Parts: sequence; structure tokens; C-alpha cells
Amino acid sequence: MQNFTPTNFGRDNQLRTRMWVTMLLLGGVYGLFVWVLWGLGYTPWLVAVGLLVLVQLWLSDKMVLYAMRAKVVDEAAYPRLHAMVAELAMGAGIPKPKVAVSQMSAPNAFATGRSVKGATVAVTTGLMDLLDERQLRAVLAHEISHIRTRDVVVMTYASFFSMVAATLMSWLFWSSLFGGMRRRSNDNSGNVMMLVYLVTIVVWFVSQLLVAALSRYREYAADRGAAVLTREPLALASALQRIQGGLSGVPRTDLRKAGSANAFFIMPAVGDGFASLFSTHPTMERRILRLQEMERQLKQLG
Amino acid sequence: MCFFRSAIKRGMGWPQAFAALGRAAPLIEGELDTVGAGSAGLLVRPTSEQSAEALAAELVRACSQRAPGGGRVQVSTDAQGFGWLTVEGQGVAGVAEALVGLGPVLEATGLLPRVLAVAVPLTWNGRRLYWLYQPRIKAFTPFVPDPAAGEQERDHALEVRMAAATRKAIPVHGDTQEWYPVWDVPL
Repeated sequence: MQNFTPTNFGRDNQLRTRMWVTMLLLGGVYGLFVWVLWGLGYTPWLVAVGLLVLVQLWLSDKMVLYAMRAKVVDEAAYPRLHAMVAELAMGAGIPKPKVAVSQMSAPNAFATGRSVKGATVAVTTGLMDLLDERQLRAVLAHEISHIRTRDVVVMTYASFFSMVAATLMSWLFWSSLFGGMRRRSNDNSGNVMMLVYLVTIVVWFVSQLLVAALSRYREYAADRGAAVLTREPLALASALQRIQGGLSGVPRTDLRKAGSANAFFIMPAVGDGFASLFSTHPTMERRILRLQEMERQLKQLG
Repeated sequence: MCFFRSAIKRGMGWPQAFAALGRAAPLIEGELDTVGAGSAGLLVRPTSEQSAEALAAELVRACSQRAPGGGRVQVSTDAQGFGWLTVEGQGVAGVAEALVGLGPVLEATGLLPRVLAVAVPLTWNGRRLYWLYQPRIKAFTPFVPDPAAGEQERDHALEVRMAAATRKAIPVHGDTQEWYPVWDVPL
């Protein structure tokens, strides 16, 4: 069992190793992708798609805020929210981010920004209505941790070539419909395009898995960061429970009623599903377990 | 936490599941500090149009076919017309043994397909927790009512802890959508 001291509580070496291994694998896959496309003479395509994706990513901050109908709010309108963000940012050692509020009833929070200085923390009114102050503080601490560890930037870089592959896939698909893969009598451009298409699909698939894994690891890290900032891991655990409707898909129907329903299918699987590999967030159950473990460690520290 | 988990990945039929529960008794009652109630309740669905009285009579008839010395059993019905067959035993291991012994009787009498769950109650820090074995999914699911939080509220965080602490010893269903509650367990 690892010894935790106040100075290393915020670190989870196993998690850090997994993150680095995932990033290295991603780098390898992307390197191979660029090398193959360059070798097959598809560099202009790669550059064009890359530029398009770059523009998309450059605008993503504003697009996220716009999509979530979030507006930056001043201190006079939301003094408690600003005070909490300021206190947590100070604890994390980062400049106070901008604070945005989205008038949406769905409980949610997110952080955005390509740099620590230009970051924004946004919460929905639904979240503020749902959570008590302790829980809201824990959720804000989770978002502040994302900013502190530059997760938005890291995930943007990590998913860059995955997005390039996705866009290229769709370009090649449409191009093939208009005769791009048609075998001509004395060139093999159709075969090359088919090969590029297959490579792109494989790169997209593998990178999706790796990006999702990296994202899950960073969620765990942000949970840990929030626990360190607030010293209350269970506050985040209870907030997560409440955000996900109290229970993550746990049925509320009594077994007596469910047992008589037609839709009571046989599901003999005991382990986790394959779909969890593509999930960008760990399950609430796993996050709660980790937070409970952190609580135990904190208690041991006194 | 290890990279490869050694949780039980396959469901288990009646005898294997309760044999595993019996083997898990030292973990449940020792390491985890939970105390077995010395009993377990089988929730039995009535057939269509079967009255509570008829169901109770059917359960009593089934119990009479048990081998002698199988421990005490009780039959009751609840407000929703479902039957409860309560078995007793010494601690978790004793209850598990009684349940293993009951399996062939349930099969012989055709009751097994109508058993929705077996509720195995435990006490922890003055709170009531349940392991529910659902024959349909051949796995256990945790259930912790939380009366302090309100009527028909459950403590999911504690259920998650139960599952994590015990899934190496007994087959716990990994999909929380199968974690149905059974309210008003008469145990």
C-alpha cells in the first residue's frame, strides 16, 4: 500500500503512468498516420484537413459557450459563485477564471479555454438549483482542476489527429462516390485511395479509444484535484450522485413490478460493457469509489 | 488497485451462487464488519390470478417436501400479494447452506422460475443492507434503503462500496440498471 503524505496526496502515480502511456500510444498512432499519408502522396489532403480542424479548434471555446447558451456574468449578479471560484482558483494557484452561467435546467458544469489565463468556468442554473453550497464548491473545484492541469489544451492536442482522421474519412467517402476510387486502366490511384481510407478508419478507431481513455484518466485526476482543493472528497461524490438523477441508471421500480413487466429482458452479463471503452467519462460508480478511497486516505492523514 | 481485476465475471446458478455466499462469510462478517441477520427471504411471484392465500398454501406445501433438518422456514405474503419464504441459519454461512438445500425443492416444485429475488439482510453500523440474488440474472445486486433521505430512497454510494468490496467473492452484476430495489422486505 502506498504511503500518502500531505505533500503527495494530490498525486496518483499509477494514473499518471497510464496517462503518459496513453499519450505515447496516441503519438505513435498519429506519427504512423502522418507517415503513411505522406508516403502515399496525400500530404496536401492532410494539410488542408488539418487547417480546417485547427480553425474549428480555435473557435471551439466560443462555440461551446454558445452551444450551452452560457454567458459570462459579473460579480454583482452572482457574488457567491464568484467568491467560490476566486477562493478555489487561489487554492489551485491559478488566476481567477471568468465565470459564466447558462440558463439551462439540466445540471452541468464545464471549463473551457486554451490557456489558464483565458479560461472560463461555466455552470448551468439547473446545477446551482440542484446542489447545496458544499457540493457546488466541489464541482467548481473539479472544473478548476481541469483548468490548472490544462486539460482543455491537452485533450485538444490529443484529439487533433483523431478529428483530422474523421474529417478525412468523410472527404474520402464523398470523393469515392464521385469516382475517386474507380480503377482506371493504367494507374492505381483507386487502390491507393482505398488504402488511405482503410488506414484512416483504423487510425480514427484506435485514436477514439485512446482519447476516450485519456479523457477518463483526466476526469479521475480532476476528481483528485477537487478532493485536494476542498479536502472533502465525499462532497464531490454526493454532487455526482445528485447530478446523475441521484442514481446512475439504477432502477427505481420495485423488482415486484419490474418482474411482471414485458420489458424484463435477460441480461446475464456480470462484467462491464464494451461500450465503456468509448466513454469519455468514467462511470459514476468508479468515481465515487475513488473519492471514498481518498476520503479514507485523508482521514488516515488526520 | 490492480490493472487486471479479479472480479467474478460470470453469473452463477442457485447452488453455486449460495455456495459462494457461504464461502464469502468470513469476508462479509469479518473483514467488512457487516453482521448477517441469520435469515434470508425468498420473494415469490404469484401465478396470474393466484390469491395471496393460495400462494401461501403453495409455499407451505413446497416446504413440506424439504429434507428433515433443513432449518426453520416461515411463509408469509405481503401487501402486494407476493409470497415470502423465510429461511433461517447460523450467520451468513448457515443461511447460505439452508438456501443451497432449498434449491432442489424449488426446482422439483416448479417454484424456482417464480423466485424474483432472495434477500439476504445484513447490518452495518446500525443500518440495514441487503444482498439480493436474482435467479433471472444469476447474480447478486446490492440494495441499501436510506430512510433518513426519504421514503423509498436508497444509498447508492454505499451500494457501490458493497459491490466493490464483495465482487471478488460472489457474482455481483456489473450493470447498475439491474440493481432493482425490493422495498418493505419483511426481514
